Amino acid sequence: MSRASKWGRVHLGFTYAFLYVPILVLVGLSFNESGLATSWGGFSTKWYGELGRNDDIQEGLRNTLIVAVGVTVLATIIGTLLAVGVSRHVHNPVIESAFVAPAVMPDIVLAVGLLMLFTAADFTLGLTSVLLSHTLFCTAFVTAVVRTRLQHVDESLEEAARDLGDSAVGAFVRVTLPSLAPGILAGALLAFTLSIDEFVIAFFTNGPTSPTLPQVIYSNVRFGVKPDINALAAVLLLVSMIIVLSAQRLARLTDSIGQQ
Amino acid sequence: MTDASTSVEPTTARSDTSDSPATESMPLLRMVGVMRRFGDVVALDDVDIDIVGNEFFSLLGPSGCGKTTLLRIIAGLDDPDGGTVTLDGDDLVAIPAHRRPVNLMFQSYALFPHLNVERNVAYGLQRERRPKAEIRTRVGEALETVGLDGLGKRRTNQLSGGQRQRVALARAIVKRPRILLLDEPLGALDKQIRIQMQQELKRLQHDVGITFVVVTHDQEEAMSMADRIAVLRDGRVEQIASPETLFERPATRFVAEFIGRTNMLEPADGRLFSLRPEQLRLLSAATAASPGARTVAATVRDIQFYGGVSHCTVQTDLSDPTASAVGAPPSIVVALIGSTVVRPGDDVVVSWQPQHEVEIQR
Repeated sequence: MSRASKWGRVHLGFTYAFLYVPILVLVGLSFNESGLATSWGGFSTKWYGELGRNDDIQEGLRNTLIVAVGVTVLATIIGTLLAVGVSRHVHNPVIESAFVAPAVMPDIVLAVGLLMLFTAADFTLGLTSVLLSHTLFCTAFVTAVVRTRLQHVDESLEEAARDLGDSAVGAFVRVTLPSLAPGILAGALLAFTLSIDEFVIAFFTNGPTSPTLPQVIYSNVRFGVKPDINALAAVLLLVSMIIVLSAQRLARLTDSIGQQ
Repeated sequence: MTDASTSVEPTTARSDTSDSPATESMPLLRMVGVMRRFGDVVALDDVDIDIVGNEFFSLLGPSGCGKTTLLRIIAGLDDPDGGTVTLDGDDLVAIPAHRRPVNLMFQSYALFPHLNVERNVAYGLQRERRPKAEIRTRVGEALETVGLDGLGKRRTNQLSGGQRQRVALARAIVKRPRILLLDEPLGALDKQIRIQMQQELKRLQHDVGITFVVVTHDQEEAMSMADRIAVLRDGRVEQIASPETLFERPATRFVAEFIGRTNMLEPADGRLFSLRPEQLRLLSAATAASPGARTVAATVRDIQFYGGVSHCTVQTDLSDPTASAVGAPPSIVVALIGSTVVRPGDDVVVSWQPQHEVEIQR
């Protein structure tokens, strides 16, 4: 092995350490019997047991799942239709790319704007307002993912289905949607993960009686990190890793179909 | 076509009188005055075409001539702004695409990526709600016709370009359309496979007895396959005729220059003649030309050898009085069989019979 590549490996090792040590510390501490960040009290899974007995966390998890599932359904439907409609009927490049604004806008700007809007409209803040707000920015992400997929799909597919005797709706359902399926699924998974750990927008647009999981965690750690939050973070890490890996597998599938 | 070899009378553009079977029987598909505009661009301008049953018809022209637009109008994927399209005398424009007895093979093939070969081919029959047994039989037959039996369970992305083209073909013929439309069917294939597929398409058209309308920009492809060809240019029909007539009696300068190669003679009287390289002879300066032949002195400039034929470009000696009398261009292309003994720089005489000059409408 040459000196250059040896040093390259050391460099790479340090960079990865920089990226992953905080996460490893978190996962390690979640198994720490003592519950203190400063001393190791032996291996234990008791904090994971604590999680199951913490009503605030249970409540937060339930709220978050309600929002995330609703957002996934709404954003996926709206985002898919938007992607298809824009690519077919909009020829103005500015309007064509305008859909992406909520995805690139700073969260805090979007959060404050939404809060003003809900207040102006006299809309009661609660899970519904969080759901609508998350749907807004998740739709942008779904649209972007489905549009990428659309660019890999032959534009003539739906016309071919029509030519073979299918109605407009039939051709859309039987040909267009299945050929976009990997993109739609990847978009849905993305929307779900984004909604689950979103904090800033939820913080501004939620009411006082229905905190989401990130809000519960925030209020818990304001006065020091409790060990069961470590366990919760480790669980969330596992869940989002599974989802991200599935989305990547779907993306690979997308590529292999796109290569015709 | 009885007078084709002797007369030099100009043929009018859009003439389909000389050798059209369409005039003998009721046409299957009749297009009259078809217009199509996209914004300011006129894609089709007053197009009249008759296509008869069991015909192998080709729409030929450079890109942007409107041939694909015309195909899409027949398929129902686009609507004309004016004119009529009738199938067996019935208005076709009023029928939506999915109810027309017409199928289109797309240039991209448009195979459904989420369905295997078999289910791609079965798609059209399932929409007709045919019984399962019938669908299975007909899909099997169609795959056999195109030489894909045994590949029914394959995914379409596991197929070669040629195989994918056959799937598209099977999917279109399985519905037994009155007319099969093919948009640049051989465009995506390698040259070797393309020549083989030209023959197969021709055989297939004969076997299944379906009228084929093929769009192509490749004049050799159209010439080798089609019974009749409509040459389109800028949305207008230049000429509709058999390949032989298009070659021997082009109606316009565009057709003369688009089909094969030609030399244009422009004598002082303002008329215009096309003279095919194949009708010319090269003589050495000392040889006497045959009686009645016209001759022009020239110098060999360049020889392109294509295997079976060579194209010899000669530079006309414009001080030769015959050259100016017949309006010979500064350079003339002469087709020679096989290779040739002449070399660049040789002084030669180009000779031809006057009846091979075909007058072209200005």
